[in-house]
Parts: sequence; structure tokens; C-alpha cells
Amino acid sequence: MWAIETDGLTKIFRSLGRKPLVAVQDLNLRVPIGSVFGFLGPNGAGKTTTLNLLLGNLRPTRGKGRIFGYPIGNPEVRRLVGYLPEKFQFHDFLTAEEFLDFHARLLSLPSSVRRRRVDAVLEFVGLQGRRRSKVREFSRGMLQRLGIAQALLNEPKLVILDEPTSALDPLGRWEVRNLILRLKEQGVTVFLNSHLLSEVEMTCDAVAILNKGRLVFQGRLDELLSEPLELDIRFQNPSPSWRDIAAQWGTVVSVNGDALTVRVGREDAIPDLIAALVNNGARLMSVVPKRFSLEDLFVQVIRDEPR
Amino acid sequence: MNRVEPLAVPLPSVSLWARWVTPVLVIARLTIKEATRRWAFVGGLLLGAGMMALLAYVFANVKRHGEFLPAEVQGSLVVHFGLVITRFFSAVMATALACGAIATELERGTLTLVVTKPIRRWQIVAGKWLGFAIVLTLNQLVWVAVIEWGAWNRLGAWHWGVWKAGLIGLLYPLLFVSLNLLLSVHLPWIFVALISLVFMGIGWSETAMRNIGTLANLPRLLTLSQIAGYLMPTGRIARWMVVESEVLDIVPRLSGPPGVEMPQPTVGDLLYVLAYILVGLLLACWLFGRREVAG
Repeated sequence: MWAIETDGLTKIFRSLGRKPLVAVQDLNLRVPIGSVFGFLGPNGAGKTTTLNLLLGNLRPTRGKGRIFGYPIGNPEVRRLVGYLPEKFQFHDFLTAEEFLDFHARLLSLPSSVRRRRVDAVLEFVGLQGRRRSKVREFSRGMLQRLGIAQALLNEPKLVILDEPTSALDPLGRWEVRNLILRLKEQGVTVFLNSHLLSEVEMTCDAVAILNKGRLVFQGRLDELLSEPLELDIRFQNPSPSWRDIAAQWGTVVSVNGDALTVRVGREDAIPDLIAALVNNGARLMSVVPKRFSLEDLFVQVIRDEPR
Repeated sequence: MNRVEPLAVPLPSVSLWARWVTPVLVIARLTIKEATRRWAFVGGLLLGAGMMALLAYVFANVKRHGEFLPAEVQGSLVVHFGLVITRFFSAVMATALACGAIATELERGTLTLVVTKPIRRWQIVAGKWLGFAIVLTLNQLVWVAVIEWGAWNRLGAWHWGVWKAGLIGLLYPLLFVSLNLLLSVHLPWIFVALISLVFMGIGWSETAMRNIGTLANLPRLLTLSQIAGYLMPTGRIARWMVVESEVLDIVPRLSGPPGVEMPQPTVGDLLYVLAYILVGLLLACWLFGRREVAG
């Protein structure tokens, strides 16, 4: 069973006098339970449309999806889900406590549980000191934390966050990142829709990349980023023969004076490469491994896509 | 032995009441809270009450042939015109409160978090309708109390007809709430308000066209009047209110201009209005259930 599972999920927007817009096409997504899953894509890729399909706000044109085994669109499945949209506005005449109480009531939490959960989520997001402040007095960062708090009221098994840090300053982003990691520790599945790649890289276990409505990449982040690996090697005694030796263990990407850049296929090839160079008389000043960042991967995947 | 993976994560158990009724009540509660802090409500309530009090003062000082009107005529005029004012103001207030209830709230983002909770769309519409209905009932009670006070001042006794007519008059704002909610599923508040005003005009034109059509003997105008009465049955409510307010025995001319007989309200009128309100509400629930929401 998956936290989220979609099969051929497609959404086409049709309107009179306009060409049909394919927002999401044949999406086959698998989100493992307990993972922090990054959902990436350039603007207009169909990420938010996908979220709206998963939450039942939009009806799929074809295909189907399941959340924890239940069909999307079933309101009851939302009892297992917490959601923070990208664009939202709270009823700002309420206090933080009243706001959370309202959402807890919508979740049909019994009164004893409701009070306990409101206290718990306020503490979780660090707003217990502002519980009686009107929402309209909150900064953007505090609103975002309050939004996350309402998403956690029902102790969800899946939390869907749509660009949760897009409007936040660096400190606010750090706080949200920490919240996500704490949710992960608690075994909650987090579905993070973001275009901030560094943030996804720091928090996610797995990612999917969407481009023009199609899924172009899906996989575990550690596997994706571990290979291939580039090494920047600087020599005290540069020689053309080092290039030939290095070429036996990987692909020489560039030679620049006393430095050589080699791309190796596997991490365990590195000690053999270094030993071969040293055994042949090379004196190494430095060996710096250069891993692919998610940004490199993202750019490569999007560029490789036919336009 | 292999462990069999469950097909789905068990859902939290929720009672039928919590699943079907609680969300409606929660939305109604928020709607009341929201409505009662708006200037449209507070201002309308005070303005309406002020106008009725002013009306009572004016009729107390009107002279005909150099003499004050008899107290019972004064009381009847206060009651009749007070109820006319409640009809107008309650319709305006219902429109002001409900015109932006759905599409505009979705646009603003205040409903975005609500629709993604384990709640059915019809529960949102029903909750809002209930909230507005409670607020407008309280409002109506205040206005009717002011009219009663004005009448009591003239008559020196309770005029129960005010309360009976006031109760029927409650259908007026409820009708506009249903209409506004229905329109607001897809339209922004400004269009909803404008269409609502047009419907108010259609409702009002029924009586005007009937009077002119009868006096000038224009059958086509009478047919148009009938159509207007079906499109917007506010005239039916107004006639019920006039009859129930018990003023016609004292001032018969309040039923309309000389030469035009006011149609006697029937139970069918009342049922038609109730059906109109209910169908409007059900249609709003159905349409919102079908509406796609891009958050």
C-alpha cells in the first residue's frame, strides 16, 4: 500500500472557444508511507492541479488515484490528511485558538480531544504564547505556522504542503524545514510541493519531477544523487600520464593545468583510482568529490524533455 | 507465513451526527460570527430600527384637516409601513450578507481550507444558509419589536398582528438568502448583488403591473404581472403580511389603490414561496457539489 498512488491520472481543462489545456497527463505516482516526498516542477507544470485532484477539489478527466487505499474524492479519506495550500486567507477576526478550534470542529474531533490537540499543535509550531492573538496581527511566517498547525490537528498520516516556504524569510524557511523533519520522525508522510530545490534536497527522501503535466522523473533522492560522482583532483606534479590512468577508472571531464576532473560511475571506484595514481608516482594536493545537486538533476531532466 | 498487506489504512470512527450534522452547525456558527461583525449587518439593523422609530414619530404628528389622525389609524400606519420597511431592508441585508458567500470566499482563499476538510460541499452551503437564517431572524425580531413598540405607543395595547406578519415576513430574507447562495456558487459578489437587485425589482413590479393593468385594463400587463409573481414571489409574501398584520379593517385602503382588489393570499402562495426557498437552497448545494475548486 502507498500513501498516494495514482494510475493514469489526467486532467484536461476545457472551456468554450479555447484549446483544451492538458494540465496533468497520465500521472503514475507512488508515494511511500512515512516518506518525505518532494513534488517538483517548473511553474505551470501541473503540481497544484495534481494536489487539487488528490484532495477532490478537481475531478480527474480520466485515471484514478488512491490515498492510503481509498479513492481520491472520498471526503472521509481527508480525515487522514492535513493540507496547507499555497494561497489561503484565514478568517482574521478569530484568534489563533478560535481558528484552530473551528477547524478541529470541522474535523469532528470530540471536545476533550479538540482542546488537547489545539494545545499540542500550538506548541508544535511554537505559537502557544500567541493563542489569544487575533490572526490579523500575525506576520506571514506566523500565519504559515498557524496554517501548518491546522493541518496537523487531526494527527494526519499524510500532510500535503503546497509551497510552504515560498513567502518566508530564511529563518521562517528553517523553521518550516525543521517542522517537516519532526513530522518525518513521527512517521507522518509528507508530500511537499515546492520549487525550492535546496529545501527539497535537505528534507526529502524521494522526489518526482513534473513537466508540462507529465511525470518525467521519480525516485529516491539518495540514489539519484549518489551517482554519477565527479572528483576534482589537484596534483603537485602534473603529468599527461595521470589523465590516462584516471581514464581507466572513470571519464575524464576536464584537464586544467594541475587539476583533473574525473566522473566515476561508482563511489567504491574512488579508493582504487587514488591508489593507482599514487602508486604511479602522482603527488596529490587535494581530492574533492563533487556530487550532483538536485538542481543539476532538475535542470538536466527538464532540458532533456522534448519541447 | 507471509504477512498480508492491508488494502487500506483504517479511518477514524466518527458518529453519524458528527459526520452529517456537526459540520453544518460549525459552518453556521462561523457564519453568524462573521455576519454579526459586519457593518452591513450592524448598520442595517440600526438603520432599519431607526427608520421604524422615525415612522412612529411621524405618524404620531401627522394632521389631517387640522387634526391628528385617530390613534388606531396611527397605529395601523406604523404597523403597515414598518413592515414595508422590514421587507425592503431584510432583502437588502440578506443580499449584502450572502452575495459573496461562496465564489468570492473561494477567490479570497477563506474557503480553501474548509473545502479540503472531511466535509461535503452541501454541508458548507447548508451551514451558511442556516447561519444567515439565524442572523436574519434575530434581526427581524428586533425590527418587529420596534414596530410593536411604535404601535403600542399609539394603541396602548399589544398588536399581535405585527408578530404574525413579522414571522411571515421572515420568508423575505430567506428567499433572498437562497437566491444569493445559488448565484454565488459561480458568480462574484458584485454580479450576485446586481442580479439580486433585479429580482427585487421583478418582485416589486408584480404589484405595480397588476395595479396598472387593472386600472388601465391591460390584460398583457396582468399576464406579465403573473409571470413576475412566479419569477420572484415576494408579492405573495407581502400580501400575506398585509392580511396578517390586521390593519385592513381599520385602514382598508392599505390593500391597494381604489378600484384594484388585492388578491387574497392562499396556502398555495405560502407553499410556493417555501418551495422556491427550498429549491434554491438544494440547487445551490448541488451546484457547489459539482463545482471544481482550483485552490
